[in-house]
Amino acid sequence: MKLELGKIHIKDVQFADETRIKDGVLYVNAAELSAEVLKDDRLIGCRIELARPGESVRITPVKDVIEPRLKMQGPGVVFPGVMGKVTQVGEGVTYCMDGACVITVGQIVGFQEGVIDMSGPAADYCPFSKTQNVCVVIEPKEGLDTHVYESAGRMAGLSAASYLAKTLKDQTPDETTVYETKPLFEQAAQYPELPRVGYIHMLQSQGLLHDTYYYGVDAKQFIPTIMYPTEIFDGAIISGNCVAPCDKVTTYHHEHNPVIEDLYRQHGKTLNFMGVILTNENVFLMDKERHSDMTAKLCEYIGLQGVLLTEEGYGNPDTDLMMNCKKTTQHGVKVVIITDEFPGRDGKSYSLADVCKEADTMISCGNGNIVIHFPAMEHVIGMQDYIEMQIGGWVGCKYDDGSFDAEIQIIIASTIANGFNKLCARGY
Amino acid sequence: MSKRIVHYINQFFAGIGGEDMADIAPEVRDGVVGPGLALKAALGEGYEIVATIICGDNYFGSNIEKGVVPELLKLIDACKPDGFIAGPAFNAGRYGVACGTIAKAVQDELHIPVVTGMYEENPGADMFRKDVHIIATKNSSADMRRSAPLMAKLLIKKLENQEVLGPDEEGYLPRGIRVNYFNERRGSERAVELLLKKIAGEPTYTDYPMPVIDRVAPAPALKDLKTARIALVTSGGIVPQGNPDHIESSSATKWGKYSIEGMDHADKKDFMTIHGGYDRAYITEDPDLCIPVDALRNLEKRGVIGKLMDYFIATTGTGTATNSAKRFGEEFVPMLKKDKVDAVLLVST
Amino acid sequence: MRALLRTNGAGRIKAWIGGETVQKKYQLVTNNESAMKAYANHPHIGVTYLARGSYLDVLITVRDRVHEGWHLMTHPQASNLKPNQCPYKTVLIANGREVQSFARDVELIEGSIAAFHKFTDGMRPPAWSQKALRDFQTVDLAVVESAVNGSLLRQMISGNI
Repeated sequence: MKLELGKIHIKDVQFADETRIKDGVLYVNAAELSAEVLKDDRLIGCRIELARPGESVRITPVKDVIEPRLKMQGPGVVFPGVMGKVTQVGEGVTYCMDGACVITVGQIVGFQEGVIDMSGPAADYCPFSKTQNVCVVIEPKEGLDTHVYESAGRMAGLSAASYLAKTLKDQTPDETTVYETKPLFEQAAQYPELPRVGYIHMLQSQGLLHDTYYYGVDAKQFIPTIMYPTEIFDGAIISGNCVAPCDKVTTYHHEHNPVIEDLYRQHGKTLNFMGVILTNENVFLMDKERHSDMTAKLCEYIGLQGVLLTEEGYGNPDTDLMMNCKKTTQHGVKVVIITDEFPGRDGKSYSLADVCKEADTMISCGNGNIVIHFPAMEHVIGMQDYIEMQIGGWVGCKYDDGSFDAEIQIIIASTIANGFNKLCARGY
Repeated sequence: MSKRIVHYINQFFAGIGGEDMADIAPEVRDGVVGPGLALKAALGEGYEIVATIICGDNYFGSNIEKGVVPELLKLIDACKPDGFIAGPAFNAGRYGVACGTIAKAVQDELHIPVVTGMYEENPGADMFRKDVHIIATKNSSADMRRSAPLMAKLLIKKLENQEVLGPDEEGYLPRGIRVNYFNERRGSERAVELLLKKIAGEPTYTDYPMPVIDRVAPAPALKDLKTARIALVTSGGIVPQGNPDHIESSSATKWGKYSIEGMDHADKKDFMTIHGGYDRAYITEDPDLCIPVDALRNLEKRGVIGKLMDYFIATTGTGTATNSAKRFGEEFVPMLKKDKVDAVLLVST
Repeated sequence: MRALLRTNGAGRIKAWIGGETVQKKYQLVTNNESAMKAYANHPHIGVTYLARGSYLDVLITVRDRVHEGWHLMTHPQASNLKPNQCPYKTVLIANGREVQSFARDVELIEGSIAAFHKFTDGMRPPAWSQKALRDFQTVDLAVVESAVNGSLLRQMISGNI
């Protein structure tokens, strides 16, 4: 499967009468965009705001972040099964709005969600402090069930991204990358001298606000399966979870999965990238046994010599992480884990919720319990009312001037556990 | 004006004597004593060891509850120190525990920078590495020449509010504190590289070492309780009156073996508790509450168990380093095996 | 009608529903009122409801049950919410088939208790509003239901095996 990814660089975002891209600037007709989102009658309000790097702006509570992408050639649509028919994707030509994001903002549930600061100390930790952001601030109809509202919020972001993506149509990419993975036997034969490497991608799948969708299906309902890596660049996987901000894998991070990007970077040079194994993080312990068995079996079956392994979340998923690591290693496949850490406020406790001796090569994405100061911002997109309730905050963490202290786990994607960032922790 | 440093050492390093002098009470001497000379040289100008506090290791160990720590803190505070150094203790167990205890107390109570030093296997290392900076020394005082400059350098950094780097750079025992930094490359890129090394069988590394979980497989169940020889082992600090082996009331570095031959229960006239981690009133009144000699004798008489061994083994659990506890087991288990003990009742408090 | 729930001294949990004594193979241990209400009349799942119990009380009760011979069915740290981020906890246990082993169950539950202390000792919890508390109940229940409604567990429970 071969996919050409054309990137159109966006260096600024502005309101205008017509939604379009000109000279690297994304112009947005706010009324049109908000009307698009409000086609969903579960929502009664939608305000569009813009946030640019370096501005004194705070965005909170953030639900999801999405990069607009458009399918130019080849079957299917971006976000298959959700924004269009369930059709195989990952082949042909796709354009990306590189450097611009849709951010969905709105109160989802009471304890709510993360923070993005466009400047100041917290901006160092957040990838979306460096992107041009179109914020979609939504307001639900009164009395919606939590799961209905969660779904409406998820769809609002995807609709907005799909609307903006249409502007990519007449653009010429500033940069093009071609990704290709062949059918198994052919792929193995293409670089016979290089080590065959794969990726076990664990998807959050524990229930309401803890779900991930693959072609529209909730990941907890499937058994481990093999995916062509290029499928993910076309939005085959979308995020439906919004609990822990710091290591939430946003839809953006699925579109930009760094493990897949970096494996492709070495594909044909130092390794042979064979494919991705998707698995889940279920709550029922028998599911864990079965799915870690199957994951290890698939690694062996497709002849991998090594795999990278990532998870989403803390606690329950750590058990899946360790079971996958242990069993895959026992099948003779080398494993490197990428994870973030929660060693408690003093940094002295054990960072993960489970352990196995096979986890002897781990890449850290940082300690989420570190406390930093968030200075007041001139403008807040969304609302700061819930900071003391949000993950990483506590009673009394907020000051009268609008500044607050919180653990960096309140920042969206600050310790995202797939190695997207440079943040790392070491023992002192 | 020079910054004022206070140095803590034991009777041995003060040149007073060995084990025979380990009971001496704290004293303060002006200026440097013994290993303080090497530290003074390493500290250089601008830092002065104004006083040396000397305390016997046994005195320290057996007076924890009688207030040796506040007593020492008072002496140290009176010297108006800007910084504090304890040891290094190398591989001396009780000295290491004393250095760790007092360094932590100075850090917490007097709020000044502290540094100590010890060998990695010193029980004090395990107990205090998370709390204070412990420079990793070798296991003998011959290492003073190498370790003194490291201790001095680290203390100066802390006194001058300079950034303290990681254990590899500074030479202290890893405290297990997870500190963030921005790597030059993103995690996924490093992970791909690490995986290729692992596949190629080259040396690898880990950002996060897994804790070593020292699991002991449970022994198989007894086949026949009626013939089983049972021994009592406790970390509850029960010792004969007078504590003949001077087992510490916390952070124990030793264990004792005591007779219960012919006793139908553990009587308060024979036994006491020295444990520093619980309210001792009840067990002082009735030691059977900790070592249930009465109940076991009863079971023995009724033929439920074969035999209660004529001795029990005791130490203090509170604050005791896992390294020490492991050593105790390695020391007394062969004896239990030799005596054909089938099972032990590990009674705690 | 609300079920009456009792635990006898030996730790065997029995649920009395409408005066009829039923020994149930599955038990939810919870401090979440919504979970209690949702399962109060379930034919095969009993509820140990700790009305004024904390998150930690639930974990400790589960630990005690594990030592009495019950098996963990759901992961005690299920959900992405760390212990200081949610006041509710619901764990499903069973006295029929075991998923893993006694030792592994003990490891998981003790690990969860250790994690609770790691994230709460010396820390102040967030200030939760009434709405947040209701939402927490919903999410906690949804997480355990994701297991109960899963293909295999649903069959096991409905077949009472």
